[in-house]
Amino acid sequence: MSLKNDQLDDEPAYERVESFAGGVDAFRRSTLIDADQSQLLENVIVRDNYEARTRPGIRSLGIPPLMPTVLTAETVSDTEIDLAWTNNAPDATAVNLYRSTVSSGPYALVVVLEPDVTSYSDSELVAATQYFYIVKAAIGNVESNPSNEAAATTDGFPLVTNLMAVYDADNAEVDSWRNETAPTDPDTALSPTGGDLVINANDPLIGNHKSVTIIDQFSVLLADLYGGAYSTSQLSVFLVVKLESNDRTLMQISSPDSAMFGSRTRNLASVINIAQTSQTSGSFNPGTTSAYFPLGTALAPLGLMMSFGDADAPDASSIPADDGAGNILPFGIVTGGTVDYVTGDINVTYLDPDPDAISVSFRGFPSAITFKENVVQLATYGSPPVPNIFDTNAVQLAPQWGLIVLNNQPIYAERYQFVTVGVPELDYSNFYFNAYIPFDTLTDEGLKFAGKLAYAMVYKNQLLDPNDPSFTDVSAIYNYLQDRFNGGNPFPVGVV
Amino acid sequence: MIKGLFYYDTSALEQLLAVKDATVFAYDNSGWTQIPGWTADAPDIRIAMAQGIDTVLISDGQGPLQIYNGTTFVSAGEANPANAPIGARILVWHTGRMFASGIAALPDTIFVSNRLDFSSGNWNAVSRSFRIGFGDGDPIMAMASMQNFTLCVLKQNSIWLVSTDPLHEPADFSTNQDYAALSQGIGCVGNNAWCAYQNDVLFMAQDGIRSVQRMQSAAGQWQLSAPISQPIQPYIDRINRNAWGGICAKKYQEFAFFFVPLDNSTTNNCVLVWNGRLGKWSGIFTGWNGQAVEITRFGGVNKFVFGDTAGLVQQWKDSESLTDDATYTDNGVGYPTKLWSRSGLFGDAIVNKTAYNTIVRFSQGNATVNLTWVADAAVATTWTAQPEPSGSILGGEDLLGSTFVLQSTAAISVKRGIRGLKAFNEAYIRLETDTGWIAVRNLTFSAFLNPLQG
Repeated sequence: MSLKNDQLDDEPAYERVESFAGGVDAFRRSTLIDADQSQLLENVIVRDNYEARTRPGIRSLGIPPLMPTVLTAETVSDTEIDLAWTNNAPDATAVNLYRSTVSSGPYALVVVLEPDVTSYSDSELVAATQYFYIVKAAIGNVESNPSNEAAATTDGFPLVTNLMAVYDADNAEVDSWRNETAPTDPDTALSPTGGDLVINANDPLIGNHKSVTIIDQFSVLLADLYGGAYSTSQLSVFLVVKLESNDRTLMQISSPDSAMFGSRTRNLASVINIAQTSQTSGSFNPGTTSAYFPLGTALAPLGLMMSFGDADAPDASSIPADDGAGNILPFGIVTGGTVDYVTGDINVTYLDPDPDAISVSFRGFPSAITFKENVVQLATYGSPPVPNIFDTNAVQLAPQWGLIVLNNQPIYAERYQFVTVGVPELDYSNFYFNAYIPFDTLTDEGLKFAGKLAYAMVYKNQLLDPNDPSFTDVSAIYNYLQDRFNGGNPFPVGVV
Repeated sequence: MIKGLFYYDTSALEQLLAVKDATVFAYDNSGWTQIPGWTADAPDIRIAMAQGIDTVLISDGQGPLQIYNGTTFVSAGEANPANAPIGARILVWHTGRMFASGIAALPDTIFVSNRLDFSSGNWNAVSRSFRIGFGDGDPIMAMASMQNFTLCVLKQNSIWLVSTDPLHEPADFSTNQDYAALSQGIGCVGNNAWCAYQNDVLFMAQDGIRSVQRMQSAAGQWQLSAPISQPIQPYIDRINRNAWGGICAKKYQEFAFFFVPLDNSTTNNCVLVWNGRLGKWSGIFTGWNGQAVEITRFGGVNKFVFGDTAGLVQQWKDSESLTDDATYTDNGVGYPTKLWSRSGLFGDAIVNKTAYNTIVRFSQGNATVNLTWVADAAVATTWTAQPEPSGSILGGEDLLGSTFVLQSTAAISVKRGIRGLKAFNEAYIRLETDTGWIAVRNLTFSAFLNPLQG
């Protein structure tokens, strides 16, 4: 097409002009910019006779990749679960692994893996906890449907916290126990449930193929335990609990906690923190949770058996010269220790600021005693310090330990104290009582005894003579303790 | 790669079904869900889908057909004359029946379900099937439901119209079904190489894109109409014939999009865009590798989507702001805009010409524009302009010195003198951008004739 020059209002004179017009141009012959009128239109859209415009772009709706399938989870240890799955998406750019402690979620992202990865070891998990997993394939931010959910439970024992005592109407007996966090009103929120241990649905114990059994419970008047500062209506409650998992059994004994003394509420039973350290390496640092010994582990009983003594102690003469086997008892201040349960190595740190200190030594169990099965650690956790027992009575600084034989099996019980590194003076803020009780068969009776034994040694400050050959059964031990209680009942409630 | 795309709509749900890696995914306008329960025989199989009686019939051309109800799949039956024909690759819901065809061993046979029921046991391969062409060796490639109970059957080398008026249904379809050939020698190249365009059906034939309506109009004249794609014949000629079975097409608004494989590509890598309202071609779109195409109607709003070779479903942003730069990216990536005028002889094919100037008038835009003056097929000069959405002129030159206003208050013009260049016989102008966007109102270029040199 061509136009005469006089048809253009702003052009100089010229002969002819070729116009390629796409706009409304009244004085020119308007031609559409379309393929009919051009050599090339690429990514141009012509919707009307007025203009040719760059075409709008596109956005991806992000269709997801195929979901992974056949997710499996397998327990490896207290802290590790192995996972495996099948990837089905050839176009995935990643595989996202999610974890939850509740079936069906909500899940939290654990790790983003390469798209060809089909297995993963999830570590640093909490012992005795059931975990639920899903995996999703992803293309960028677009995720596939979730895979099947797979679950596994770490070995070990759960951390039982916030056990609350539920009392009867007379406030004399504990009717039941609940795992409760911050109950608003013990009277209403913690209604008696007939003496059973009630675990909330969200407690990790549930679904953990473990059992939690109250073996024994007994109440102690605080006045009896701590002196006249407490009225006769104030109780301290002890709870002996047997925890069973797939590979071990643990006994747990409760003791009063600081909250009891502070608020004097009915929530008298605190819970001993147990078994949060790894099975294969445990830390005995004061103030932290104590380690536990798994059943069936030969190396477990080689754990710490430390004692200390100070020559300046007023009652230093009460320190036995030896342990009955010719071994000199230790002196000094143990500041901490770790045990490698795999190798059996014990690493101990200590302070010996006292020039009068005779020696510092550390002892394990006599080699003649083999603890291969049913080793139970009782642990009490006494922080803040329990009053009227250790604070002012220097004699308590003497090493106190004993050897008890139960059912023809030796029972070692030793009280020891750790002092944190850097604190030159003895620090009673952390008190541990450990009793290592081997049983061929872990019986409830044995656990009851162990619990009350722990009570007797901790709260009644009983010394147990390891050389007493009469300790061959429960009755003998009871009689021994009764004798040390000057004929009284060493156990606050009932008889073993 | 997306091997199937279908919009499924009932009173209770709206889903865009996409088949990727032999698996069906459903999009509900907010997210995708992988639908378990059925997978196609292989990931590279085209999946046929058609909706009727609030369910979707799905076929991979291999195993038993599946009926999808929004959540689960139900088999339409194993191999049995009373069940849905296994191996069907073409499905269309028409006159209250499901029509199925494309079985490899029965390439010209159409199977018809019971009325309002295509589940297992509601087919009759004996009395409700019929052959188009009766063994003429021409396989059925597609079927399209048209007006007045007419089923358009697009065979590979012929076009047929089948009358399926329910009031005149034969008792035995196999012998009494009424149909007639519309043309011979012209057929459809692929199962999806067609689209309904209002009352018409456009399809990719071996010689270009054709209109059934035009063919029907010309039928009485005993002549064959020209393909509507004639203005873009260079692109038709570039289509890879070894891969044109994968061509897919869809009508959206006034456009018909034909996704085609150009040159050596074995998958669709170019879109031919037909503006039916104007009766003009709008050129080509590049960067879209659609292998399946569909229109969604979520919430009653139509959207153009296609599934591409990367296994993604892409949605066209045509309804978004035309002045937003983000509108003019494909997933955040810019793309070129090319507009080449046709070459001009300035009214005289003999004498040489001396170029004078060019004027490009934009109504809007935000891009760096490269203008090229091509004389006698050789680039004579190139310069750059930078229109912006505000309409002010930046870069290049504005020899007009004033805002060019036509329909838009933001119109701008860029003018460039091109005197002093070598004389030429013919010339044209290229307007190109690498990214960004432009809206062009017109191109003008002028030159002086040099008659004494003629």
